[in-house]
Amino acid sequence: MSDIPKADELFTSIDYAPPITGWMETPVDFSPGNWCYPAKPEKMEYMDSKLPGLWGKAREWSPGDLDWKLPANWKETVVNGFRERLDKFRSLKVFMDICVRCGACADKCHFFIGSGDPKNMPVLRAELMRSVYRGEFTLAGKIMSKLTGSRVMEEDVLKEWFIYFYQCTQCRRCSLFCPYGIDTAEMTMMARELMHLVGLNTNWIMEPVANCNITGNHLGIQPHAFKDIVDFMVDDIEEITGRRVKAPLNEHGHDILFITPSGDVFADPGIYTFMGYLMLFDYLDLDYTLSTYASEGGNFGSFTNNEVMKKLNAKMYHEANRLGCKWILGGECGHMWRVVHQYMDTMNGDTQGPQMTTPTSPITGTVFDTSAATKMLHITEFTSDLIKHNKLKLDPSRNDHLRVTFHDSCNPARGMGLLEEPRHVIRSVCNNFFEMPESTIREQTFCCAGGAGLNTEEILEIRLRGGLPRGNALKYVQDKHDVNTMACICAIDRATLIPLADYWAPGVIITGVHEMVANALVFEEGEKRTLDMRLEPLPGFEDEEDDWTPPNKEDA
Amino acid sequence: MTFESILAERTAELSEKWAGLVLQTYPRETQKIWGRQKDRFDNPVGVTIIEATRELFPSLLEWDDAEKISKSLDKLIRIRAVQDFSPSQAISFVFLLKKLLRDEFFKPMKKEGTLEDLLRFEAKIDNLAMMAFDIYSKSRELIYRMRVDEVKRAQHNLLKKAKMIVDVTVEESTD
Amino acid sequence: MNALYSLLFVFLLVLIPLFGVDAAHLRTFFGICIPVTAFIIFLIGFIYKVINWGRSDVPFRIPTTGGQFLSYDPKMFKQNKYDCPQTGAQTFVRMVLEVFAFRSLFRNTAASLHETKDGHVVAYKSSKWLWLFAILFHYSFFIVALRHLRLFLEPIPFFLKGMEFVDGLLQIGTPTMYLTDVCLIAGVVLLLGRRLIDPKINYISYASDYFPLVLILAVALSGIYMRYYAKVDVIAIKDLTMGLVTFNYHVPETIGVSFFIHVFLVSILMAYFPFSKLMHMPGIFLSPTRNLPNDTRAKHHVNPWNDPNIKAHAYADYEKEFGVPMAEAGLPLDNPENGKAPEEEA
Repeated sequence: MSDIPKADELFTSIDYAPPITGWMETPVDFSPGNWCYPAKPEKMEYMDSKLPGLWGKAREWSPGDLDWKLPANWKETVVNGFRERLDKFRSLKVFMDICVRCGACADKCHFFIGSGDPKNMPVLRAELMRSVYRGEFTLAGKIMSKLTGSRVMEEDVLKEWFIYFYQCTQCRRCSLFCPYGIDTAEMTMMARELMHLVGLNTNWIMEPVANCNITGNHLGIQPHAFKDIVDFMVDDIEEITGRRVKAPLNEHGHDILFITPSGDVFADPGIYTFMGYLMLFDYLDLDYTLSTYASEGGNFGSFTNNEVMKKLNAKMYHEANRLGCKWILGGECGHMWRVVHQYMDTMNGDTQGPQMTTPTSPITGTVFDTSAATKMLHITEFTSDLIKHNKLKLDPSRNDHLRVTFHDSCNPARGMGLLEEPRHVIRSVCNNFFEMPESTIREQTFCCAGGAGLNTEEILEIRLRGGLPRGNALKYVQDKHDVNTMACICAIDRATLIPLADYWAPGVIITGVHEMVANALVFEEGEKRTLDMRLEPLPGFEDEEDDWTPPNKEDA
Repeated sequence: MTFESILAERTAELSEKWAGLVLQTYPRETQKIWGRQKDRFDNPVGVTIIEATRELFPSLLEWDDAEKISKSLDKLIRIRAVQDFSPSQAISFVFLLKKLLRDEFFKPMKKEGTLEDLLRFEAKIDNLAMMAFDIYSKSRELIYRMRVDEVKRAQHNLLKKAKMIVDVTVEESTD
Repeated sequence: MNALYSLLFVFLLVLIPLFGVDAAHLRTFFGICIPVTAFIIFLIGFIYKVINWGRSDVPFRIPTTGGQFLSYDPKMFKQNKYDCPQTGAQTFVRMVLEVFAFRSLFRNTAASLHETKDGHVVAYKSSKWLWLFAILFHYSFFIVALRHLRLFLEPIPFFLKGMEFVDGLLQIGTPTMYLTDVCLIAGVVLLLGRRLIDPKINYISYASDYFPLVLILAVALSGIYMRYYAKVDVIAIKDLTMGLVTFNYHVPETIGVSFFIHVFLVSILMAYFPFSKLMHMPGIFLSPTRNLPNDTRAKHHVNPWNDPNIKAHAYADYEKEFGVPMAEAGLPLDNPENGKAPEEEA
């Protein structure tokens, strides 16, 4: 928010009509609320000790200050880093050259739609970088800088990068519509790598990175505390179902290692989805284990640079090998699955132990050839296969109080192609399912506006603006079909969609797909349940509860 | 003919003009890329502006349904509360109606000596501004509450666990 | 402003051969030296650029998926083969559709306002104008360029004659008007108009976006002028062009100045091509979000610079750090030593 202006300023501000400036001349607003807090120096020192040379000098600084305390040779570092990455990533080099500025991407970005800020058009976001590419590396750009839209690297340019490449959630919606497949996510990744080299970073990304490396989860919870928390959930499940499920941790000799984002262990409402996993696995008597060491499926490294992404991801195979697991089952998560699907085997496939085999469902015998290389299976593939083979006894009427729509998370949609499996699961566990408008789902899905490390509260306004297109689509089905629940398969969604829904479509709650599976799962013949996973009465049992209303239901 | 009925005849035209003024509170670059006269409202923000002004204008004339008015106001303010506006800028759009009416009617009404009608009507707009202020504050409060809730939710199980630790120490201290 | 610069610049470019040929009598220079040099620049620049792209590594497979992937049960969940290809062949089809049918542009949507009984709704509706303009322009340009082959080949291949027959089917005027000439002009004008009128596109356009359009427009107009109005000596021109391909250079005296203007503008276009955004033509073939199959979970992809020294934070270190509380919590340890509290060790 900008400061409150004086009365006369307000009046000038209403009629204020500055000349329209070209985007290069338009100044950037650095007031608080436009940027994420920088990383704490101790986190950066730790990261530098683990992966030296990628982080610049650890220091206290603020994007709100004039002086960002950049190292003296920052320009050289960035330009050289840029040159190096042009050789290492064909994507970057080709995307720098071939954009024709046709504008097909312009109105595809949720941040642009919500803010109207021209620099949020994907083409201009990329031009922030391309202009420097032309100015520093091409002949035409060096000779005719203005006419070709070129400029050299300067402090203001770098600062502009910091603002706008942290206003991109790497959702790839622009890439889908680009006639050349130019992917802004790819450029955002590169720009962030370059900014890290000179110590420009955000705490919401770097603290989880450091924590994941040490403790295995993004909050830095130590293993014994992690176990306590899992035990809590086992208690809650017992309260709901009367069944004490097992939750094996760090155990050797199981076939399957299960990894899900640690947000599901700590955060409401992800915990209900986690409870759903535990119940499903217990129901199947699945031969599996969880791990405290590799307890973070999400890869915060993918928001920083490819080195950290690899390092954090390497834990999965490391742990599968140590515990002697044959394959890995992955929970509901967005960017985790982008990394697993498109990067994991390339980065760390050669560290797979000889005991690892192509994922095979021990219940149905289905061999999942499509994950033969990574040896990692998505939980909705696994569950969908179970349902197909009639291996789950389900009572969808337990979800009759929910009128459900499904939010395709960007990464499974545009970086994987996982569209039908979660829908199959949802349709099998609930009776009321409604799609949002066609141009806002599946591969055309709109982002939750909190991906790629933007899910932090200091930029909540930016996120809410960016969430407007998704919010509108949600409101549409809320009005039309009385939808009161949005399901998703992503831990970040489960966090960001809540304020988004509360703001743009109040009354819609957010749930994971396997929370609904858990509600519908019938443990044994004649099992009666009165509570759903949130310890709230199921339809038909409202009277049995006292008149206490759960706090988060008061407004609904 | 009352001032209200004059306004009622020109509802469509005036509310569109009002919407145009609201659009002008956005940076020039933004206005430019949102398009020209014809298609400038063809986006979620633009559509809310035009919808809100179209609804508010007749409601102001009727002036009998506070709920309806606040619903229309809420629609627009909700968006402006999360865009890059200061609080005063965010609700300035209400006063733009005043500006519009003065531009359109001040001179002729002064000539006719019916200026009182205009001033009387402006009191409604002032009331509208008060309502807008309430709604804006409510939106901002919601946002701040969501900030706190978000942090709480993110650490839901930790908070739960933290309480347990307290219990344990109490027990331990007794023996 | 950027558009104006481009227009002015192309105008100046037209003047150069006009004076060069008419006043300075540099016929050989403009008829042979310039086009040959431009062609060499084009060829070398084009090849250099493509090789230069090709030399950059493709560390990861990052296709943008536009539909359902190959599922564990492809019968139950039908794969969208050409938007989410799993195999090389499917990827090839995806590329063919992308290159020849501009499939991604075909997807284009635009936000638009709709009146419904419950008020206004913004919907993202299919918008195919850009696709249409682009198809019109690129195909006309391609066919026009192909038609020019008749100047460089003797005998003229049958398919060229067939194509010319179809192209001139309307039989308007003498010499017969080619449909593609009209379409090319229309395509350029529409794309140019869009760039000038659509405020979003207008805001992001540089001079280097207008220049190629204006230049191509000038090329087309000069070509049409010399064919339909100046009625240049085609036999003499073929003499010259055949000389170019057989390295037997000479410039017949009967060729009018409009030809030199046309050739000069084409030369500029060729020489400018490798340094400009026009390289999107070969670039699309190398775009990693389109030309790779979505199969990295099934097949190993090699990253040439994958760093084997980047290893996970070792479990052994983790256990060393947290062994004591882990043991207390009953979590299994690989090395029981790690579970002993430090004071016990002492």
